[in-house]
Amino acid sequence: MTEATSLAARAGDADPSVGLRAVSALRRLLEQLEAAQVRNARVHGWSWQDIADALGVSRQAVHKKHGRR
Amino acid sequence: MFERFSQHAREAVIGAVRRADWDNEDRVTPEHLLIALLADSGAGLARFLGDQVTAAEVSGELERMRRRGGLSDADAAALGEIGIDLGAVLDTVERSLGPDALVAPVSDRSRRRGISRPGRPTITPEFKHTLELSLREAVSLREREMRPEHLLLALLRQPGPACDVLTAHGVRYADVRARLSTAA
Repeated sequence: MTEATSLAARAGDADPSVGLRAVSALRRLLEQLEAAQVRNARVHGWSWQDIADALGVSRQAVHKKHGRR
Repeated sequence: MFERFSQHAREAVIGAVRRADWDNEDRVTPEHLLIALLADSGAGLARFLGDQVTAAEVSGELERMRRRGGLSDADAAALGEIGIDLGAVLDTVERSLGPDALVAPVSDRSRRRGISRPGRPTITPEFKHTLELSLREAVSLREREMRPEHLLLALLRQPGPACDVLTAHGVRYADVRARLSTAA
């Protein structure tokens, strides 16, 4: 497909590759944001339990994911 | 390991370490290797790629990716298509958490030692794996020496920012591999 026709196709219908790429990027952005916000919370003296409560997950999960940094 | 490296491949590895050092980073990554390869005209890689991608473009994109916590230009564009302005998100986050808020922090080890960075940057496991992959590529192509083109193949096989940047510029493992196979 030439670039012109592929662009037209994208504008016309929901191109799965763009949508899926956006999901993948959003997921990675989410991971980076979570890491940054957890770091910030720790800097502010929040306990792992406080952070877990705010995120709606278990203390073990947060500590396992972010504890070793 | 280094006996099978061509002169240019060896220089690329040294160049990568130097580059990380200049940038004051404590880890040498496959991205540094890619930049070093493209910057060395003697390695011929830029020519091999037909100027599909230059060292300046790669450095620029990698710096943007670093600030975004690893998200490429293609990722930013895809997010834009669903209405998320990555630049705006970054600006807001950095306003409250400070600059480079999404950049991966330095390793705990150096922080505990009380120094901001060790004397010389160290290569990451990914970097080492790239070198191993490149040797395997050379062997599978029945070459006696591992050359910059094999490093390129390895970079294309290793998931990560270097691979993303190359892919975004239309460089494909299958194409490069085919070109090297027929040349042999």
